[in-house]
Amino acid sequence: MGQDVEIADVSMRFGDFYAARDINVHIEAGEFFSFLGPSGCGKTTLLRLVSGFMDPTKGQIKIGGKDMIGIGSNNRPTAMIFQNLALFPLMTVMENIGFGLEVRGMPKVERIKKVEELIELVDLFGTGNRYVSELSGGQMQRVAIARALAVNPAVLLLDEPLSALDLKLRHHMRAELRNIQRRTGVTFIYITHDQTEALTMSDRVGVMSIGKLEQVAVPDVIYNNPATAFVASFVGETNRLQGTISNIDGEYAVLNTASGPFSCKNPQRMSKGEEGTIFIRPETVFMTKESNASNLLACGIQNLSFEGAYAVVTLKTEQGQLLTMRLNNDGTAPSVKADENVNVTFNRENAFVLKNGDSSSA
Amino acid sequence: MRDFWKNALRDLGKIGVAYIIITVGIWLVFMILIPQLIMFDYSLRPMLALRDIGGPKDVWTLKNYIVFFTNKLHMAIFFKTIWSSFIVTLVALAICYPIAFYLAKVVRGGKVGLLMLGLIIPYWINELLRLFAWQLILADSGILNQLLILLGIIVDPINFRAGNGAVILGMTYAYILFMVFPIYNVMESLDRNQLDAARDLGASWLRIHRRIVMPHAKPGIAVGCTMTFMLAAGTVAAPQLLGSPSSFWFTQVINTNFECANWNQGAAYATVLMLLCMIFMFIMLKIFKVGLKELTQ
Amino acid sequence: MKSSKSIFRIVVGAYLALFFAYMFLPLIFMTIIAFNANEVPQITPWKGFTFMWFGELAKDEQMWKALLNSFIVAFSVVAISVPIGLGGALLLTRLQFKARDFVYGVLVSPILTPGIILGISTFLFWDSYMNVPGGLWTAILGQATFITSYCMLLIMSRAQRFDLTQEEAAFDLGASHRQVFWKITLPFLRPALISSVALAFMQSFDNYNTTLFAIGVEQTLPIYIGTKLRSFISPAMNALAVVFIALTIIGAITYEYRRRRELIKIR
Repeated sequence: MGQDVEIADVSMRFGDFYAARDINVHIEAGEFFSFLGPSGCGKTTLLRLVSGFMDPTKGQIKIGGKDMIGIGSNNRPTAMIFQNLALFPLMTVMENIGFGLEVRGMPKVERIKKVEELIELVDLFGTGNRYVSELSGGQMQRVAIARALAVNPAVLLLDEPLSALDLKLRHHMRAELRNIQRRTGVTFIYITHDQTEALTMSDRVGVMSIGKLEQVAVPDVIYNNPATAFVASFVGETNRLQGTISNIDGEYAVLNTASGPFSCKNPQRMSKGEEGTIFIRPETVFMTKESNASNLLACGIQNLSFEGAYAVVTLKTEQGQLLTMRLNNDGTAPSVKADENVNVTFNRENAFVLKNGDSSSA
Repeated sequence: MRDFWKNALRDLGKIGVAYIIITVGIWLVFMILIPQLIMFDYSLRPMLALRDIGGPKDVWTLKNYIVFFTNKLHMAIFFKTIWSSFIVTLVALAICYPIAFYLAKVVRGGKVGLLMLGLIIPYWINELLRLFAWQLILADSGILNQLLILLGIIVDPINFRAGNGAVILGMTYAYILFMVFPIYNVMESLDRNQLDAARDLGASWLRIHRRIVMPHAKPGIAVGCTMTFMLAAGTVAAPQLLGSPSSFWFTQVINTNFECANWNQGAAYATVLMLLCMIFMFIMLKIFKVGLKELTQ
Repeated sequence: MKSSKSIFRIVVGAYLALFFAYMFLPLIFMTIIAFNANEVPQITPWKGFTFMWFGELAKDEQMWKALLNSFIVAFSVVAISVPIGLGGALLLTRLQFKARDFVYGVLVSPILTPGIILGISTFLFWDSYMNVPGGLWTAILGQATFITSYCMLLIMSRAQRFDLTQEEAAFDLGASHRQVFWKITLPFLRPALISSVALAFMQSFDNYNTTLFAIGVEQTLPIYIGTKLRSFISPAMNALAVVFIALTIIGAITYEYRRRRELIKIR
């Protein structure tokens, strides 16, 4: 069964560079937790700190309530699936999967039984005596999973294990990983830069930018209520309008932007006079005939691109600001043509203002 | 420093780190450094009777080196050794460059294996026996003289071994493969497309070699030249087997010193030889602008 | 265009033929002489085909003693050079430290030093400082000084291609340092270790310059050959050369055959 992982005040410094800075997160036992962020944000460092390949410069890491600092990776209840899988090329599939048991001194008969169970679990029948170089990409992935599960880890650490697979196989393996996680009850800590992967598989997601943990929440909160400008721009597509807060109205704020005043949610409780950016998802922007509706933007249609289930419309406001909007292909959306002038609007419930942060990597 | 030990212990474990320290320590200290330093120390002390060693006469002096620099005959032999080794190196380079290029970039497929075999077989036969083969050819009643007499070109056998020619010829033969393999190794890593591209752009063969192949092969040429020069300057067997009294070699002077039990003088001469080889190597590194690392790949 | 290409081919062909004639003719002459009944090692006059020189060689006890010594020395050099070479390779590929390049330079310097100097310095150190008279032991140490450098370079070139995450994966699965070394690192390095055993053995077996100065009054096979060639030249030496050539050809063919079979297996 899984154990919980507590990362408390953890910093990791390489020379003058902080790969992780004051990270605080508590991962529940049996949870599927993802760290999401662009490459170089420190998520792999965090995973290596949990696995014990290095110790943090500062802070505590506890697994199942036990302090792990100073304990090597071979004595932690974790198992890692490496980005390059790191399968042992000179061993067969069975020897690979049984390696962790072999080094623990498990007798051969017992070991073979356990390995065969795992081969069944990950659906690898008939490959036991092959060398890993003779396997397909998906099969190698399964060997890596089985090898890690063989040692009954309380926490399984996965370092972008699906990034080398083609799209179809990746979709399949996502479902499979989630499935294996539910069946085994092991805590999964998953590292990825692919937001779809993180949002579809995880119970909770932690979004990271250059060494900092920006937000920890369930996937729909990450998408609908991002805590920072970085999260808003890194996860999903957004339209941005910059401006200054001119009025506060309970949970809402009104911003003066180049394209006029707009009303939106104010999750960070920003006050009057502060500068911020309004984030609006393309799917929440819609066309309107009412010329006196609030949050109105008069635009010209610059480009239309048909994507099947929906069309992406690129709009340009009179002030030159570019916006995107989605029109669902369900017969409800009005038909439009390029160069047409339209009025668009959005609900203040669907937009939010956030402090201008560093969102350069998004 | 603390990080170094921490990482080392983490990666390799206590036994691993201890193993490295002990093995490399023994090698570095007792096999490389101390013997070298002791030889140098020997070269700086005068030859003394046993009872004087450690006594007041046992002091550091440059006497052994002064003896060398003031002995006209030894100096002449020294410069001849340099000059001849240099010729051996140049001739070997001239012969080997085309062969290495042909093997690495022109010929393809199974033929490469066969030709390589043809190079490796003579390489594996003892150096002395390789030189002996030339002794048989160049002797007074040897194959070459017999052939020339048979063809009516000469009447009396020529003494080929009189000058330095025989020694140089034999050494070129004996050490040629130390030139082929390093050059072959670097040329093999040259992308054939580069040659095709250059030819496509209208470059002549000469220019392709000067601008593309040679710059790429520099480390191999440098290592081949260094090795060949070092082997030639340091050879003992070639002058012993192919030389005559008139073609005395520097190593033979060193040898004579040891045979006369003047170890201190011998150590000084050996130090001079070592310095010569080091200087040659550094010149090679400078000329070809390569680092020591590339030299020994 | 076409004719210039064919001229080029003729020139290349002629050059290759000359080169390989230069490489092999001396060895062929030497082989023919080994079977000539003439007392003087020459092709002419031909006094009939004989195996007697091989018989004479086999009767020479000195030769057998030198051969035995050569084996003792070569095996000892392998036993010293390969483990130390492994240590050096691990030091230079696995540890990061500032003086790394300098240490590398010192550790490869024996290759770039003339053999006689290694022989002399080893002899001086052991004979006069450690009171170990020149003999097989000093010859072994002198040879091992530079043969270890070769072994180290050979092992390093493979160790550099090692994927370190494999070791991490093994640690992560609970293996100790000892287990990681024996089950992961060593199997990966095995081909390089085998080649360095072969290289060390052959380098030692062939060595003349270093041995000559370090060995004192003992003899290895090359020293024996050197002594023989300098004093009384008999076609028995040709017979010995033929044995060497034959062994080399057999060795080279087996190696090439095994290499091709490996290639097929990989495909």
